[in-house]
Amino acid sequence: MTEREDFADFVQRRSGALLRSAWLLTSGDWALAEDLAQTALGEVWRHWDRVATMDAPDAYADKVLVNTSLRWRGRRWTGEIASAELPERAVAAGGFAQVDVRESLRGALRALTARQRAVIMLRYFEDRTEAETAIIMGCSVGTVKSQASKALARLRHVPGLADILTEGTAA
Amino acid sequence: MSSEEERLARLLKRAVPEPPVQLSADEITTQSAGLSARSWRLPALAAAAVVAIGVTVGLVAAQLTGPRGAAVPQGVSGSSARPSPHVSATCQGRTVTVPNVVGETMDAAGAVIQDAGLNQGVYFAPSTRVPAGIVMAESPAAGSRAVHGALIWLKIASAPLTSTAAPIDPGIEPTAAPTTLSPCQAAIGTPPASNATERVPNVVGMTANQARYAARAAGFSVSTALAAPPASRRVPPGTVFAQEPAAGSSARPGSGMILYAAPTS
Repeated sequence: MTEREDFADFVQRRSGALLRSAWLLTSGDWALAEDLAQTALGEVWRHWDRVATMDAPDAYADKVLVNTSLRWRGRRWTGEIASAELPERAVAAGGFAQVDVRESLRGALRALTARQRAVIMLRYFEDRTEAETAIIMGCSVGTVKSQASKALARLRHVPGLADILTEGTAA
Repeated sequence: MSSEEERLARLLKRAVPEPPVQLSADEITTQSAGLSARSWRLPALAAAAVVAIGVTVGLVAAQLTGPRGAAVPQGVSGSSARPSPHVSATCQGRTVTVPNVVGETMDAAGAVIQDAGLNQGVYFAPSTRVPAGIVMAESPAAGSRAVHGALIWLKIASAPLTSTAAPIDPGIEPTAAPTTLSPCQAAIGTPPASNATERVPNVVGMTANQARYAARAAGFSVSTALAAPPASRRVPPGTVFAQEPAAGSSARPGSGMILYAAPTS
């Protein structure tokens, strides 16, 4: 198998997961998420000869994704969009409930810093351990813990998420 | 994990939508091929910037000389806005032949130059033989090659002086013989100064009076302009913060020099 085919295989296998992670990192902006995932994969491809022999190429791709998003902070999007009025909530019934939760999540992600989004994504979306998250983000386990708890504290106050997180009714 | 964390984990997995697109390896590998080509972008940008500066200088010069075609007795533009002949840059791109516009009116010459894909800068020189508003010379010379968008200097005849005031000598003059400018030199527009031998002294940082004295002592005809210094620089009141031509360049003895001093508050 050539290098190129190897990489095509990796993209095929990982692109869905990377895009969804990128969606979280970009506060739910598909255009940016696609850009971010594409840029990260471009970076992976540049070092493919090294990545291909790694034990955990997936974790490396995550690391590049997170680092790229942190580097982009303030350049491509400002992340936090302050708004006095909350967006009107969709009718919480049937299929709309799903959309409603998604919109709440989007708003909640915007309330987080880029680092907090990264911790949330790695820790709770990809279910990585605190140690793994720390390695990927290049920080200490203590930082992962504190960032995660700060993020949770913020999310708890986001309307639409608060009840889900504290009561677990919609879980 | 606390129960709250577990609920968040479940929520994330449920709420993050399926991606609307699939990434393709082909796009990524060609995109990163583009990235590696970055190495040539910087020199190319630098060359473009140099060309842009040359063009801007030409436009400023054209504005300074007053209404198009009008007989303006002196060519302040030449001395103040002459780009440094020492600038060099790697340039690439297609070249065009400089058209012959000597003998044309200024407007007609400008149109021809622009049709050829070049830009023109003008300066005026009094003449008794050539009617006012007619191109007396061009630099680089007709028939030479210049980079697309390059600046071509046109020497326009103006009516002979009737004023008794001494004209400010532009300090530059196009050579009569065809020059063998490289396309790069042509790109930044270099009106040659045939007998520019005087070194321009550095007077930046002096008080306006000291600077005037120093510039006169070096053989230049000095005018001082009071101007607000760039916001990024702290300039003491009454101090010269910029000069034209630049220190170290050469100009003809007796030619004009402009000093920019911060106003005394």
